[in-house]
Amino acid sequence: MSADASSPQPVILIADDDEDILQLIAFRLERSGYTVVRARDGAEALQVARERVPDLAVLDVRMPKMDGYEVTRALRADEATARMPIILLTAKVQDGDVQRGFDAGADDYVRKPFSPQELRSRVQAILGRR
Amino acid sequence: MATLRPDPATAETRHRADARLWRAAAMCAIALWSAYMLVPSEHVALRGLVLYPIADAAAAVAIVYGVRRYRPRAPVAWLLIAGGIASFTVADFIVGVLHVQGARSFPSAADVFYLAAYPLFAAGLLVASRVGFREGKRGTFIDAGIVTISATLFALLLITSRYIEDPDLSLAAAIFASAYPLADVLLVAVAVRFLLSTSWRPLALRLLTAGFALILVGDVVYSVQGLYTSDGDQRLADALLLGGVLTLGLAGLHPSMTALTAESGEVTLPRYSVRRVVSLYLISLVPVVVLAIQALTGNAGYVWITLLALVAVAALVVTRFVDLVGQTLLAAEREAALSRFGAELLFRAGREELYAAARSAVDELVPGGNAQVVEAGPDPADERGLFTARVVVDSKVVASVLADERLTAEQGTRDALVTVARGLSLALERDGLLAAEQATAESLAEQNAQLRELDRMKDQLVSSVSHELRTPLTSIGGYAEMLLDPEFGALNEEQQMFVEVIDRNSRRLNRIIDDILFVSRVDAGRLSLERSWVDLAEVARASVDSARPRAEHGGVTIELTAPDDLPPLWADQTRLIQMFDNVISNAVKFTPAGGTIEVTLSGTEDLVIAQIADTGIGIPQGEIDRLFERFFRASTVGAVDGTGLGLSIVKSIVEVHDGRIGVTSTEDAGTTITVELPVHAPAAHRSDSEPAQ
Repeated sequence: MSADASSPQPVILIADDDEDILQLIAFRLERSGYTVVRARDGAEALQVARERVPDLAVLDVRMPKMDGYEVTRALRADEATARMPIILLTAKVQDGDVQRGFDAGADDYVRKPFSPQELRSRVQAILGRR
Repeated sequence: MATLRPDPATAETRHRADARLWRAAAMCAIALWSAYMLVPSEHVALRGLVLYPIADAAAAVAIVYGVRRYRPRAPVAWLLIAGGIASFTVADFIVGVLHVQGARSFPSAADVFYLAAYPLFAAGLLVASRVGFREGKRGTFIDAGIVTISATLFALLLITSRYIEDPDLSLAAAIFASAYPLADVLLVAVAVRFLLSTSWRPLALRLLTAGFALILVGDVVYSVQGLYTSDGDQRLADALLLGGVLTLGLAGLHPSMTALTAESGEVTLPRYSVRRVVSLYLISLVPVVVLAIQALTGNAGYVWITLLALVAVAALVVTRFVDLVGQTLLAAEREAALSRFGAELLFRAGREELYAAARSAVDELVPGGNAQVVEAGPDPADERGLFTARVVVDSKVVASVLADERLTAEQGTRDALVTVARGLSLALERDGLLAAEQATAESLAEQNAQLRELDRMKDQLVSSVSHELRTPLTSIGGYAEMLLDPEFGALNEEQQMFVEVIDRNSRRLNRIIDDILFVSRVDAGRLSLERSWVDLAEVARASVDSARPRAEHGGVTIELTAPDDLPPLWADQTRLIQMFDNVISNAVKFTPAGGTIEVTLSGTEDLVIAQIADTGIGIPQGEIDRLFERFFRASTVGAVDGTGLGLSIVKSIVEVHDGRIGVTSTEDAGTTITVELPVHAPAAHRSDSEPAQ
């Protein structure tokens, strides 16, 4: 999976139903040189992910229509997006929830409230590995 | 019964007056009787016209006075007896006059009055029998019949037959002479019937019996003397007859005279006894004996009558025994019905079922729908002419067992119905208690369920509120962080400080949410541990190191002492870090500049002990016990912030590790918190060692 030829910057899908958080992540990642595409619910996130095939997806766990786990499973099930790195944002802190995220196929998770810098570091770490 | 109870003192006085009166009357009676006996026969007028009639009249007056004084039920019984005595008085006076005139004709007007007395006596006793007693009507009639037939035969063969066969007597004389024994027989019959159905206990009734016995014996003596002797001295018969009449008078004057016509409940009813059976058997032998005497003396007269009497008595005896067997069988049936009822009561529950059991028992005892169990309080209008047994629960009449009076003449049936009523009372009472207990248990269970549901809702609420708070907190903290990030442009010094405050407080708010969530998880029993082998020294060092910058910033020295050979713990490392963080940050918060915090670890084979001692403000002695309570904040903490949850979380962590926590503190000198953690996990927690998937 590589970046689109027309955009040299890595494309990151961010999905969260909270507009302020969406904006927060967008500011941080765009400032760090990523191209950001946004989605405001799970279904939109899945659609955008299939259309744009981003280099990485940051998905909130709790979203309308489809939750982060479902989107993750759907992306993993699709050949085109099966290897897309996914970071889940979770307000839940129980071990079971984290486990559920990994079971669904997420690569990493970030607990809310998170530091934007920390999120950027995780993104960089995952994309840098490739 | 709603009778007015007399004042005890008045009753006592009255009781004594009654006794005095009766004693005086008894003295008078003895005096009169003695006077009559002592006066020589020559004083015919004194004896026949004065003493004898006066004694008779006194007896009649005594009874009438007794009736007025003691007010018995159905006074007519006593008044009829008094009437009989009055009739005797007139007859005796006439006899006296005839004697004075020297005329000794038989029969005379006196005989009419004499004979009139017997039906009056008999009527009095019949009234008494009818008023007072209900039990065993048929049985007492049969018993009386046996006695009467025997007595009649006796009188007929030994006395009356002589008159009839006596060629010297005129027809009138023979009829009158025969009438006496027959009148006696009538009296005997009624008296036996009465005696068989009453109690002998009251003195008045014993005197009454004795009086009639004396009169009867006197009559027999009179007749026999008249028949078999010629001197005509009737002193013995007179003595017996006069004694009998005086005894009747004394009976009527005794306070217990009311017992003659008392309600059955007040008199102990006689039961069928061996003595009674034996006496009946002996009496029934009378015709046989008479037959034997006739056979021996060669007198064959009246043999047919004797045989007839024998057959009649035999028939009555057989009937009596058949009745007895029937009663026994009936009693057995009643017993069976009652024990079935008893068993039903044990196995049935609920008002309806208990009533149904009582209804079927009552129906068995008095068949044909003539007895029923009526639910509801007492209604006297419905119970007239009915036998009633009350069903009482908690001192309240809740139902009645009602039965036709006529069908419950037998005491056994009544007792059985009363037993049913009592059984039902007890069962209903027990059932009420059980129902109340069950209702209480059910309402408690319901309340428990509601409380559990509320508790679950509370946990849910705490959990979702906490999660909901994290989203806005992400924005607050995230944007504050970006404001502070030079990448997004520099702030001036004041702006920088303001945003730092926002940043710091958003972190603090997040910690509070963490604490609240932790506590709610502990409450819900959902605190799970991820155990591994943990080096506590390493955990303590990490916490001390992370607290050091803040401590030094506040002028507080923090030191760790740990031995090299501390045994590893089977524990949740994250929780132990949280524990140390909380205790140490607490110590830092409450230790003023210049103070020290010493974290000391030590270990035994089984335990690892961690001591965190500070030289802080300390806790007032009275508040130490509350230190680990949730939201408790010591009165000395002043303006230092905190949720009051930190140490309660520490305690929860220690406890889920099966450890112990203690605290010693001196105000203004410092606080030492000691935690003991077991090295080996107890067996119950071994399952935690399963690696998480």
